[in-house]
Amino acid sequence: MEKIKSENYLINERIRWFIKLRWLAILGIVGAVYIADKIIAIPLPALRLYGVAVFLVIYNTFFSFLVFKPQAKTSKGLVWTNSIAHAQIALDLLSLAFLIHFSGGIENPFIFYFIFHMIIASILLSRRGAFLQATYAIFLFLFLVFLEYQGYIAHYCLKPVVPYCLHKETFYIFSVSVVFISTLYIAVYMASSISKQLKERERNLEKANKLLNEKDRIKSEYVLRVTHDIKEDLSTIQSCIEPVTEGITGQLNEKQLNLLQRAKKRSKSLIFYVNALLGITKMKLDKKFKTENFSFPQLIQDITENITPRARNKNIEFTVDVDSSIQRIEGVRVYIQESILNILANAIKYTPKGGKVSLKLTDKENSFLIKIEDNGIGIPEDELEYVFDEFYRAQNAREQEKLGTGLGLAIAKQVIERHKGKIWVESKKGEGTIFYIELPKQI
Amino acid sequence: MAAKRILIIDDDVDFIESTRVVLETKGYEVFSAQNKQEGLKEIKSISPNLIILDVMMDKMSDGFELAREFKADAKHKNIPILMLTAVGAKTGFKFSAVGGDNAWLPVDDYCEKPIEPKKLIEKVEKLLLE
Repeated sequence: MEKIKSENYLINERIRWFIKLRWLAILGIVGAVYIADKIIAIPLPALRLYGVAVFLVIYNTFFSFLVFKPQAKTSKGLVWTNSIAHAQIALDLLSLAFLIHFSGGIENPFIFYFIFHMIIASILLSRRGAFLQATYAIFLFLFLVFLEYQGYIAHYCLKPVVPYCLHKETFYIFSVSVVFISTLYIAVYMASSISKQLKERERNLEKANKLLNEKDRIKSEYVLRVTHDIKEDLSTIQSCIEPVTEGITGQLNEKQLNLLQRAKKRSKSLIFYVNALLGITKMKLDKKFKTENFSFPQLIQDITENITPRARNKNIEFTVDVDSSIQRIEGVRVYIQESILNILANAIKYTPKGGKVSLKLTDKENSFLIKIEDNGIGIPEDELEYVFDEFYRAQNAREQEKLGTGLGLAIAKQVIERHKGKIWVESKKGEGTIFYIELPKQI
Repeated sequence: MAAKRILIIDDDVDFIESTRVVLETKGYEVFSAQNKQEGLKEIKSISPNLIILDVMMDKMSDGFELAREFKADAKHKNIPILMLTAVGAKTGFKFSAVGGDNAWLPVDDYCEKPIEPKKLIEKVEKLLLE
């Protein structure tokens, strides 16, 4: 079952994304300043603007180091992640205020870029945190405008973008400020409302997932208990029927034998089914996974010996091709053997007489790839995604073969995934099927 | 020559009966017990030539304990034990993994239930020959 990512993990992810975005923003700033300075020839203090870009580079490097360190993934708590988010946004707002100041102050239409930061704050922070940052942004803006208005600091006029300097135009300052303040607060309100809902949904999903995993475990334990008890009874039924069918208790007439043999066959197939169910359930509950180092070619050899007679019986051409460089593999031998055997047995079962089945083992750099191909009945396209589900059997497989547990591929998938490998299938109905198993060399 | 005595210790009466039928047709004298205490008592009174033992009876480890207890007794040490059980299925316990470790599991052979009559007879005959 796929794990739902924790809130902390998600915020961390987003912080990383914003760090990457900041590198782009820095490039944008440098480009814009260059164009304004050299091409449009606006009289701006380009050097100071580049200075702000350098400041951005410095703190973005610092945050990259903090966040991208391998152990920083989720090892730190939510408080730490929140502090990082707050610090970054505060520094971004400060940088933006300086950029605005050096490029026209209130005349600069880029003041509305503060909105982007408000959206970022609403995504990363709590609603209160986002409003706090909005207030801080407004303070920075008003303070800057006030200092320029009073002449305490220089004003860099944005001529020729505006016909004349606007920093002392009281009515203009007032109206821009009102729009600016309301826009920021409204943006935060809207974005954080959406973000809050999403966060809540994430939290609920996380909770639901935990509960589901727990229920799945309880279900597995229950299945284990029940199947074991059923198996005990089945074993005894089998041991009572067999002496009779084998004539130990005396000769039976043909009809008696016929019926008892049917009963025996069915109880045998039920035992097979129960064993498969026990196998998959045990593996699910088994937290430990004891691996061994064994010869992969030898395993393939054993599998080949098992499959060849079945192939011969159906006059199927069965070929095996093992890359000669392949030696040993790490894993649970019996599980891997069962998984490959199962897929091969299916290939033989669902390939008509005179068909072809092949097994190919190749060495990929960090893994081994097993390819099992047949030219059998294939799997209908709309059923491909379900073939690894427990108890699922494709329609055409059911038509051809009534008996079957629908557990073989589910077990194989469980096995391969426990080995940190991958299993997938390609198939065309009526043409054939290819199963791929990729097993890592090191688990 | 007197018939060889086989003691089946298993809490499943039906299993005992079916095994009894198979073994009796081969001329063995079959005794049975349904738990650890009864089993130990029977061993003393009939001195069987072979014991067929179930692992899980009242407690999960009853069979193991019984095997250890009576193999520790010099008088019974040489009576072979055939452990016949479905326990592998429940615990994932692999008998082959401890085969030969006599201190831990002092049995002479093991087999998972159900066992075909032919196989059972084969194993019994082999153990009685040894």
